[in-house]
Amino acid sequence: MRSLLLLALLLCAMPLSAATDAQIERIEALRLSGDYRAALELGRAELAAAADEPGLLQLVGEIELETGDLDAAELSFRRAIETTGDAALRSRLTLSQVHLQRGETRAAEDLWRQIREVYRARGGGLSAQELQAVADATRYLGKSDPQLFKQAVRIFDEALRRDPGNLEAGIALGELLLEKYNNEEALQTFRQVLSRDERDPRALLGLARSQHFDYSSEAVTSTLKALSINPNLVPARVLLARLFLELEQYADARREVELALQVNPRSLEALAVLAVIHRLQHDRQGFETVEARVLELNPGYAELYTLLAEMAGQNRLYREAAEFAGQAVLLDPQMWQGYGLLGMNQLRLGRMQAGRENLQRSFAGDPYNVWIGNTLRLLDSLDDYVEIDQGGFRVVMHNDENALLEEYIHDLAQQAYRFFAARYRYQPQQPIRVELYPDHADFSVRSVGLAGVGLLGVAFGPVVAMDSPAARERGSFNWGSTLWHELAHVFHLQMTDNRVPRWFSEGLAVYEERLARPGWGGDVDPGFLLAYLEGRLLPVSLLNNGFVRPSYPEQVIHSYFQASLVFEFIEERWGFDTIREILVSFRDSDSPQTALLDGLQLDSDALDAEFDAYLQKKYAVALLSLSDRDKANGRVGPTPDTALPDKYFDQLKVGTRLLEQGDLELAEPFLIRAQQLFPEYAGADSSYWLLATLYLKQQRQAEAEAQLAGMTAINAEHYEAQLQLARLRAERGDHAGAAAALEAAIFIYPYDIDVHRNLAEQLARGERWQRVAREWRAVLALNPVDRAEAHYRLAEAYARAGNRSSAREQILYALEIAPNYYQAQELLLALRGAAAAGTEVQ
Amino acid sequence: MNRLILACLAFLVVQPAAALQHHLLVVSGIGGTDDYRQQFALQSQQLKQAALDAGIPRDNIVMLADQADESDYRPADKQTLLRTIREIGARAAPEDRVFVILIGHGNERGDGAVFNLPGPDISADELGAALDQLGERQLVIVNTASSSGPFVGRLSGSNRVVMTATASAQEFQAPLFGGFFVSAFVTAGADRDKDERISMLEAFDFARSEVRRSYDSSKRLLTEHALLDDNGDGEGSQQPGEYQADGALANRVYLQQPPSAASGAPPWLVAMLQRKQALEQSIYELKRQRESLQRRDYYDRLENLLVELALLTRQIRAEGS
Repeated sequence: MRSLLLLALLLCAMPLSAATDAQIERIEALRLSGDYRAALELGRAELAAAADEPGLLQLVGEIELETGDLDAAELSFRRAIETTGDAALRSRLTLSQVHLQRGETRAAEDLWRQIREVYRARGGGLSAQELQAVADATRYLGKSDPQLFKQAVRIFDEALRRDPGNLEAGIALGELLLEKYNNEEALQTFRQVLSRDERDPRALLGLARSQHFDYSSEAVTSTLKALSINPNLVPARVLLARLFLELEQYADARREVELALQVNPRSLEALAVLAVIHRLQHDRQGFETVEARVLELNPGYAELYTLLAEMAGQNRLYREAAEFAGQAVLLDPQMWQGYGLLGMNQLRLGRMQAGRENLQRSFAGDPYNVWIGNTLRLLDSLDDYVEIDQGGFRVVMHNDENALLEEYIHDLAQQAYRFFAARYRYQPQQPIRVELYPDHADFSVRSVGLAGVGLLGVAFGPVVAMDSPAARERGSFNWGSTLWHELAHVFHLQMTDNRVPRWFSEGLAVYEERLARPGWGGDVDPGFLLAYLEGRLLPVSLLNNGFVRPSYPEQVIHSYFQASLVFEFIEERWGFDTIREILVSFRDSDSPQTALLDGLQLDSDALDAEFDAYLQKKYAVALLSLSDRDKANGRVGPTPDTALPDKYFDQLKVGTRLLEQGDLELAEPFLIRAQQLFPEYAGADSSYWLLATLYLKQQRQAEAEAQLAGMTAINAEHYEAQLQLARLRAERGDHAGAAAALEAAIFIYPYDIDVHRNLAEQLARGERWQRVAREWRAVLALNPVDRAEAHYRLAEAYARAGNRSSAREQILYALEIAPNYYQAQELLLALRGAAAAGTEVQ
Repeated sequence: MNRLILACLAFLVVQPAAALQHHLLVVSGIGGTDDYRQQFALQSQQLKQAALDAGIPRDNIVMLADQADESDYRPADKQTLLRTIREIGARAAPEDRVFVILIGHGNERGDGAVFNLPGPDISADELGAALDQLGERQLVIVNTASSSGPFVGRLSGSNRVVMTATASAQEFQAPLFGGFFVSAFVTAGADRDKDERISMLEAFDFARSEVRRSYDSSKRLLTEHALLDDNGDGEGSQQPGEYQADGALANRVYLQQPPSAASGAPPWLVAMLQRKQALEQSIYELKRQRESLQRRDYYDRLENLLVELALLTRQIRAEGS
């Protein structure tokens, strides 16, 4: 009888267990697709029938957690723990997540320790899922002991060895690797998971986060794919909102956040992003309401402030970023990311000592942060740098470069300041800190914390950091125009309290370069016009995307140039006052786009259309000569007979080939025609350089000079062209012109001692003695073999400039090296004679 | 008279009636290829001309070459080289200076190095033994060959300036040093102290700087490091200087032949030159004390001496004209 009863019970139990497994699968499927309501309904109904089935309790609890019903989730997890006892590791873990959501850190830590205790006791006897829970708990505890992260990785690996099909463990491992900045492995891990199930929305989300880490535009694609499978995946909505925020598309960001909050009204992540949106849109009341809500839900949620700090920093609101980061660490003294954000932003504001201290705190707590580690190493290397204060600027340069560059940098910086102060009718706070790095990797670290960034310079407001001319190969960048550009940013940022849109400030800064010196500020090239013809250039309203999320490799460069043309267009049509007024309006505007359109009194479509018309008119001839490129050049190699007379590439190719073959007379008409078809292009492979080369070979100096002058007036970056131009002008007796070309060359590469000598000579012909003196100081800084001569020449220049005491000093230096230096002796006697007579040296 | 004055101005020491003579021995070793043969021949010719321009009597100049283009060149085999050194020893007065310049290739051998000659090469030991026969005479030995570093240790000695193109026998690439060393005497730029003559130190510094510049401009790693030793310690310096361990003697030795009593220097000139020499010595001594003096005091005193020197120089030139 008893056996029969037992059998009956068993028979009753079996169909019930089988039904529960199937239903668990169904609930899981509903959950993965985002139909949480249906999943919960089904789950609760099943629980009513199969009370305290731990698997079911766990799943229902997780859905309750995801949808923000923390009380219910807690109940479900506790019931699961009671039912399962020690084995309920996963339930303990998810219960800890409930505590974390509420800010009950102590309770969460207790649970993690309990989990680890089970691991210690049972070691190899845990299932894959249990190991995953241990790994997650270990990961959480890593906040207090960073070495535990390595253990967490090992335990995740163990879990995956036990069950390679455990996608959740794979995703969790990927998230841990990403959290610890090992994005290469994180990407691989997410892709491995997706190779098993390409439609797992959490894996897609992990992939998107990884892509976002690398600033890849694919992050949007992956996020949207995740949402197409589970439209209620709250973290995906939150990520998408952040991606929109980075593009300053606040309305789109808000929509995503609200969708997230519809699913989980208590999502701290979503609320944090909403707070950011309010803040960036100057909605103080909205911000405070959300802030209060977050802190009500979790009084210790420091991540709110780290997110605010991060987003503020990305939007170049460095002062606010530092303030928010400060609040984060006050709330949570173990918020290592907070210290990092605080330190980085303090450095951007020029608060070097405080910045370093906070970065050290951050790194001590999280030694995996590559950015912080790199930045601390960079700060250590600043012991080799010198700071020089002059005229409202604090210039920081490497000891090896200081003697040469100091004067040039200060001179140009002060020129720029005076120019911009008058033009913008604004004076930014001083001193302005300008840092020059002779190692590009160091500059990269300073700007973003990682080596290898493609920028030349960056402005944070009161601080500018840039490559020094030694950081790049000769001819690859112009330090003068870069400094001018960055200082323009200083004005734009400070005038707008850092609220100027990225494209606006970049475009305006490039435009300012063009106005500063002939040939500065980028110029049009065939690639740009081809991009225009192929419809790849962005409309003005979307130009920010070109900087933040480029869709083809050259789009960033094209966006810089295109944006500068927008300002050329605006100033021509409306005048500079309009530009200045729009700039000022950004400070208090919650919509930069609206501020722009209001300032121009145009709508978006009209602006795009008018700018397009402007471009078409400006480059009409060139566009025509470049159009139908494939058709024109689809045939194999144009020849002198087949080259189409109105097609730029045909003419250029034929002319180039003939020049290379030495057929100079034949080449000339083709190159001239190419120039007629595209006169605006003056790159290294342009008709200007080729014709100059041709004319020099033919000893037609005047024509060569004209080509070089035309070229450098558009493109001042070509070092050899500047030197050639200087030589030709000097030969013709145009010493002022030669000097101008040599000065332009120095803005590209200031380390050639012969250029400085030559420049000194040309300036001396024009009796510009102060400038002559500067050049001889530069020669001395470059450590010439003949120091006596350099000191003598410098003394002579000082004497001519009326600076007798400096002349004396230098002549003594010269004679100290070479006591029998006859010309120097005579100058010494002349200085003494002049001093005695109270006259100047003749 | 002007040329005499200028020549005399160029010297620290006013020579006694029977003035010291300079002897130059240029050895152009085996070239191996046409390019090197031409290169070595050109350098030899340039040195010979520089020596003649410096006033060294033609009879005091001996040229040895692998393939002698001129009738007064001797073959550069070891036997001839050693015999030539003995002849110089027999001919030169005890106070004379002897310059031995080796132009060619070298290589490591055993613990040391050799200079390549047609037939058997000559080692540092063999050359050292031959030069030791010249006694206490002031010697300047310049080895511009590859792997020449070990020659410093063996040839170093009192009253000797020894230069090598490389710091060790392992620097076996053909060095650029020799060409630039010769250039110091034939192009502008080496006369750092502007006294219209090139000291051995200036020639070394010029060559070293130009070597570095050549490597830097072609973005190559520097694989040759020239040495100069003149304090007899057997350790050459890569950056000698007037006030460094090596360089003081080299700074006072010139290729220029000092004028002799036969040139007829008048007593007033002799007196002025002696005064000039004293001033130069005072300047030299003051510069040695630089670190121990207050800056202002140092430069005030220096200025006074320099003014006096300048006035004297002006006077000498004026009297001469």
